[in-house]
Amino acid sequence: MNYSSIAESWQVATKTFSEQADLNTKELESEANYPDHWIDCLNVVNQLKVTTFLDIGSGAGAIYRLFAKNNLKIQYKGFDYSPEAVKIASSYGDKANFFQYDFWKLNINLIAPFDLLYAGALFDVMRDGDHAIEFLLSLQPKWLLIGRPTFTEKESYDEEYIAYDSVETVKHHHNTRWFEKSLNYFKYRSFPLRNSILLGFNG
Amino acid sequence: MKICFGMIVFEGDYVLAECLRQAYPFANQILISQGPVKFWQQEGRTASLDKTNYIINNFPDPDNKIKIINGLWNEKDDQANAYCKYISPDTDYLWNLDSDEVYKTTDLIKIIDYLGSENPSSVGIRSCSFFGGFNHYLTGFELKKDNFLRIFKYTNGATWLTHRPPTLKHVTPLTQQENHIDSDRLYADIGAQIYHYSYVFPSQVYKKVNYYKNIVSKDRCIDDYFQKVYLNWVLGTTNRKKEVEQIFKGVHEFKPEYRGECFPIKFSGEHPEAINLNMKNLTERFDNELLFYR
Repeated sequence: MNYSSIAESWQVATKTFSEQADLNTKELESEANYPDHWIDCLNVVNQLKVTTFLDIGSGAGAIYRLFAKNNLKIQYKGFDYSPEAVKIASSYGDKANFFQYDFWKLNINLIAPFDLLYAGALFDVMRDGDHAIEFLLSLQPKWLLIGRPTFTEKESYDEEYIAYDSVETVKHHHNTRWFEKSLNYFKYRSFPLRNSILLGFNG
Repeated sequence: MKICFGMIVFEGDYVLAECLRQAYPFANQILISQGPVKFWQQEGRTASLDKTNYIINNFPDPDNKIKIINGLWNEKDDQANAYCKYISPDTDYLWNLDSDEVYKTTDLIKIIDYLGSENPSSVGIRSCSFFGGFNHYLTGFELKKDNFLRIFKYTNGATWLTHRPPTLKHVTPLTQQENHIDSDRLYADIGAQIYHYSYVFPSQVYKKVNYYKNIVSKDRCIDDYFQKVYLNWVLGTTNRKKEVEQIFKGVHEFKPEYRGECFPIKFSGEHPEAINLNMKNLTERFDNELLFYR
C-alpha cells in the first residue's frame, strides 16, 4: 500500500467512520469508558490552560464530542483528509469547526493561532510517521500532543492492518532512539500521561 | 537613475514574489535583510519558517542585483541598517520597499521619471492598503499625507536613523536644498501609489496585531481586534460589516480616538500585473487560511 492508496481507502470509508462514531458514543457515556489517550488529552488541555486546539485527523469528531461532554470552553478546529469523516464529525457541532484538508499542506501560518496541536490517530493511518512528526515540528507548534504512539527498539517501520474490518491502512512504529535523539523538542514530564507524548518548543 | 530597493523581511511570503517581480526591472540593487527581531526570537524563531527564504533565494536574478543578508536583529532599525553597507556608492535613491507593497509597472516608470525631473530629497507615497481580501481598501487615516515615506536621496555612507518612520541619516549633509515631495502631491501630480497588501490574509493580520500590540503601541490597539474587527468583518454579511465599521469608526487596528476614521471601501481599479497573474493562488491561500482562523 502506498500513501495515496491508504489515503483513498480512508477517504471513502463512510461505514468505518459511522462505526467509529457509534463506538465513541458508547465511550462517551461514562468516564470509566474513556480511552487513556482521551484522559491524557483532557489533562493536557486543563494543565496547559489551552484555549485554541487543532485536531489533526479529526476523524468522526470524538475529541470535539469529548470536550463538549466535559463542558470545556475551548476554540476547537478539526480537519481530516476524508470528506466523509468531516461530514460525520460536523453532524455533532458547528460545521465551521470541521473541514477537509491535507496534512502535508499545513504551514506555519495555519497553525499559528493554536495553543495545542493534537494528533490522536494520525500515525495509525499514515506511512513514515517519523517524517510526519519531523514535518509537524518544523512548523514549531507551541505544543504537540501525540495520542497512542507506538515505539519499537527496531528501526521505525509501518505495520499494515485492516481497520474496522474494512479499511486497509498502516500503523507507524517509531524507533525509540530516533524519537529521543532526533527531536529538537523536549518531552514534557511534569504530569504523567498514560498513552500519549507531549512535545513543547524548547526555546 | 540608479535605484537601490532596501527591504527588511521576516515571514512575509504573502506577496513577496509579486513585490520583487514588479520592482526588479527598475532596480540597480535589491538589498534584503531577512530574519527575526527580538520579539520573534523570543517566540523561538531564528529565521523565517514560511516560504520567504525560498522566494528570495530562488528569485531569478540574471543581473545579479539581489543581495540577501540573513541575521538575528535587535529591532527593525538594526535590520534595516544591516544592508546599508552594501549600497552602491553611485546610488541616486534608496527606496524603502516592504514585502507586502507592490507597484504597478506604469507607476514605477512615472515615479522614476518624476525623480529625474523634480530631484526630490525625499518622497512620500500614497498607500492603497487592502483589507480583508483583495476587493476593499482602507480610507481616512490610512490615506493621510505622508503615512508612508518611501524614497530618499542617497549620499554615500548614509544609514537609517530610524525605520519607523523611515528617516535617512547622511554622513555629509545633502548638497541640495531640502525638497520633500509629499504623498498627496505625488498622487495629484502622477497618480502613483503603493498597492499595499497589508491587511489581507488572516495569518498576516493575526501576526501583525500581535506584534503591534506587544511591541509598538500596546494601548493604541483595539482589544481583541483580530476577532472583533477583522474576522467579524471578513466573515460577516453586508449588514454585519457595516455594524463593525460603525462601532469602530472603521477597521484599522488602532482605536478610533488615536486614528480617526478608517473605513474600507470597494476597490474598483486594477491590481499590479504580478498580483493579477497570481490572483487564483492568492485567493485560494486566503480561503484556506480562513478555514483555520474563523
